[in-house]
Amino acid sequence: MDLAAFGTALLTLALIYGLLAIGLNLQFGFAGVLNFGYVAFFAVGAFTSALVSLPPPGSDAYLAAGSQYEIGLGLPVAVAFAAAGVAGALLAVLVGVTSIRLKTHYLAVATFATAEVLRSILANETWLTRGEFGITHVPQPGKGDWVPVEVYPYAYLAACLAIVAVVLVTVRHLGELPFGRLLRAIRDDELAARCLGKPTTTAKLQALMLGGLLGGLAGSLWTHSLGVVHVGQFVPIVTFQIWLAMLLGGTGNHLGVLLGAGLLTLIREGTRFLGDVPGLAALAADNPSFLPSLRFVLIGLLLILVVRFFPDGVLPERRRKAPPPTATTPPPATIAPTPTAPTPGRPTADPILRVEGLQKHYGGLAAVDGTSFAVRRGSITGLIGPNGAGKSTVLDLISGVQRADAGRVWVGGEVPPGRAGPAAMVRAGVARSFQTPRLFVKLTVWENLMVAGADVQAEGLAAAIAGIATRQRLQRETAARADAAIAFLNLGAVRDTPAGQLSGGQRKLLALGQLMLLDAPIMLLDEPVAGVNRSLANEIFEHIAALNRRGTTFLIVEHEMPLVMRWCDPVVVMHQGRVLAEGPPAAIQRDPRVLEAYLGGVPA
Amino acid sequence: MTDFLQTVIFGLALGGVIAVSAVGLTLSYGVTRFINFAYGDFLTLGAYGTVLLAGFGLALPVATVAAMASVGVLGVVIARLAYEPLMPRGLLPLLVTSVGVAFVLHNTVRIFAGANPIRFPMPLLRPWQVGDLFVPQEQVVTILVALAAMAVVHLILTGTLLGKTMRAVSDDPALARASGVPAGHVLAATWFLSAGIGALGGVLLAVTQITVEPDMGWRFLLVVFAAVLLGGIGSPYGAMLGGLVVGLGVELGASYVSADYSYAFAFLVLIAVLLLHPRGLFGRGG
Repeated sequence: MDLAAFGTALLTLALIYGLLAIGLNLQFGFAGVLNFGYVAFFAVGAFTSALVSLPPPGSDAYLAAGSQYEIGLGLPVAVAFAAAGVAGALLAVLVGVTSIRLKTHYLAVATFATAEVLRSILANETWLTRGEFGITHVPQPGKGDWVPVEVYPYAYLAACLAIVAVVLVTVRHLGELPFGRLLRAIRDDELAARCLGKPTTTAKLQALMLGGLLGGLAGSLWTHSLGVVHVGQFVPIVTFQIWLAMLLGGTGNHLGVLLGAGLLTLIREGTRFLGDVPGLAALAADNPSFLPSLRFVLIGLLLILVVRFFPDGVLPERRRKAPPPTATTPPPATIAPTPTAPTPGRPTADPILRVEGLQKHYGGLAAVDGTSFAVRRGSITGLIGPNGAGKSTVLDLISGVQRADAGRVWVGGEVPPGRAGPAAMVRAGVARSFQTPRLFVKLTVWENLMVAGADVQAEGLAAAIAGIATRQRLQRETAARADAAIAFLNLGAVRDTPAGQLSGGQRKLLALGQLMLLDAPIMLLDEPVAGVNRSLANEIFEHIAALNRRGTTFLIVEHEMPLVMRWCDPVVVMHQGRVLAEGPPAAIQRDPRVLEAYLGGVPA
Repeated sequence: MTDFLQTVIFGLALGGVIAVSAVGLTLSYGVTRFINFAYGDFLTLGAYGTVLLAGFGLALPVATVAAMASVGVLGVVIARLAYEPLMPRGLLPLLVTSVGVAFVLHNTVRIFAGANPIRFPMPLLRPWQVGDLFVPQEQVVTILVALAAMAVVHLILTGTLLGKTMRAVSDDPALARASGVPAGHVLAATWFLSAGIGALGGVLLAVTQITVEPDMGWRFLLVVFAAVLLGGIGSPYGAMLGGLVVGLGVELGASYVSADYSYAFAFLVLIAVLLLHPRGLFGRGG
């Protein structure tokens, strides 16, 4: 075999697989979408590109080739290439709109089934695809025309190389924009992203679409390089070879994924030489499917071994370093872009947040059983009660993380569309923290804050493509606020550390910082100092008080009584899903009902 | 009318095959919480194992039981080697690994048995004639074996300590662990039962389609998924019902809409159920 020709074919194949793996990585490594039917985009791209570029039925070229297909638009290959990308993206929208809300394994099954339905259609609609026979004489652009036939494979390889290079650079750039950062945040913790008001479904859909686009483009490159397209090329194992390439390379890193595709191609095509191994050749002679089967056994084994022993792949996710803070770190007051305090200092009488008759049942158990209370504007309201009183559930219900069985929540006199979930509540002005901070573990401290502070406008895919000036201005503003928050919370030493490596206290501070960047007028904090040492706990409450002086209203669930008594006023006491008492801390401390609930009886 | 009844008989037989297979898959899901993509290959191994053992002269029922037991043991070995070490790492590694296991299994079968279909050694039986209706005995045997298998599963689940433990783990894994359920034993027993029942499903599939081929189980997997999800994942009785519905649906669809798309109907049912009612039409859990 001609070594140069073999190497060229190998490299072309590796690049096409690389493009596929980058597309899958956009969907999975960046947005956490578990797609087990990725081959569908590849197939749609390949057929679209072929049918768009084939000479129309009845034309001279059609007759000369003795073709039998029924659709051929006869358009230039460049147009076909673009059409393939569009087709892939459209299929992704279709898949996304129907199934993106499904949970992990359901999504895997649904996408797998979608790809099989598509394959079934491609196999059976023979008028469109010629079924198992496939379509031959797919145009190879410029072959024998302005590129001599002898060097054509090299020219094609060069074209593939250029296309993949452009895609790689673009996609890597995209990953560092607010859009890419949001996708990585969603991958780490989708609920946390929604609790920061992010339209996660839209972002995931866009990532799915980009991945579909790349799959379609890869399909086009594939079909024009071979000159044939048939349905048998798009069996499920192709999807899992792309998965293997991605996992080999290291998810979350596009360059690694490209390397992974190269490795996969080497391994796959290397098995061609298995027939030269003396013992195996004899076996292969008896059973024509021996070698292909052995190849798939190897791929299956590799998939198992890579997942088990090599979960980070060849290249781990890049360590990201934030741009240096602007020369003059702004004073903490600038963390919030606009002062939101109508009456800083003293709380006013009008409630900014009110809940009425909230109920939540789990089976026969009423966790929240008709809870009603109000939070005054500008107050730090404490929410206390024995374990199991329903405090955290109340926060979940207010913030839209869980849906109440009954009852209402008013924010500033209006009932926000709480059924729309946490993102809608954030837009209505209510943000929350979790008892165990939910951070984006692979993002750095700075990135965690940037995600929290980013404007939805700057994060869209549209802003990533156009609107560069606006995006950069918004980015600079957010970066200044993020650095102010880092200074305010003393997190300067860990600015570029992934959140997953922070200590418990630092996590609590970072979670508070995210809320500061989000700058919601109402913040719900679930045990902001649990598990934090005493001096840091005091520090956190001082930060809270400082924010409160600037006008933020707080509702805080806390178990540390001295802190509650010192910082919160009023205090709401819950017991067995209901409000037991409400009032200034001194009165609460003496209330016999509260003592009974906590201690099980009033000392005589 | 005769055509319709004829189709219903085939539908019930296919439904029985799917129901048995679905029970095995859903049992393992209930205890382990992940969808085993290698499950279809237990069907293939069961069918090929039976062909092999029958070739040594064992009677078909004996060969079937022996194949079920062997596949059950293999299921435990595979789980111990490939799945259990990954359990603390969440869902994704398990899903991808199970796909890898699937490829290893059916391609290994292909290496040893070749890619071409092999005739299943079922003696040729003359169909019974009832009026205008031909009732193939193969289909009747399939329906009866499927019913018997489901009765046995029911007895295991309700009447034995193991079954009760499995249901407890399936209802609330954390609570079961806290109550001192020996997780290792239950897990092993579940893998064994799941793979063994899958093997029986494969034998029944071979009986209804007369031949076996290396990727019969892999191709059948989505049909089984459809039944499992229709019945509510993790619920054995839901899976039985889901299996019957999908089997009838596939046969009726093939007869009255388009034979080319028979399995695709099941996939569409699957996607529709996932979208409209992700917890299944009959069951709880999820």
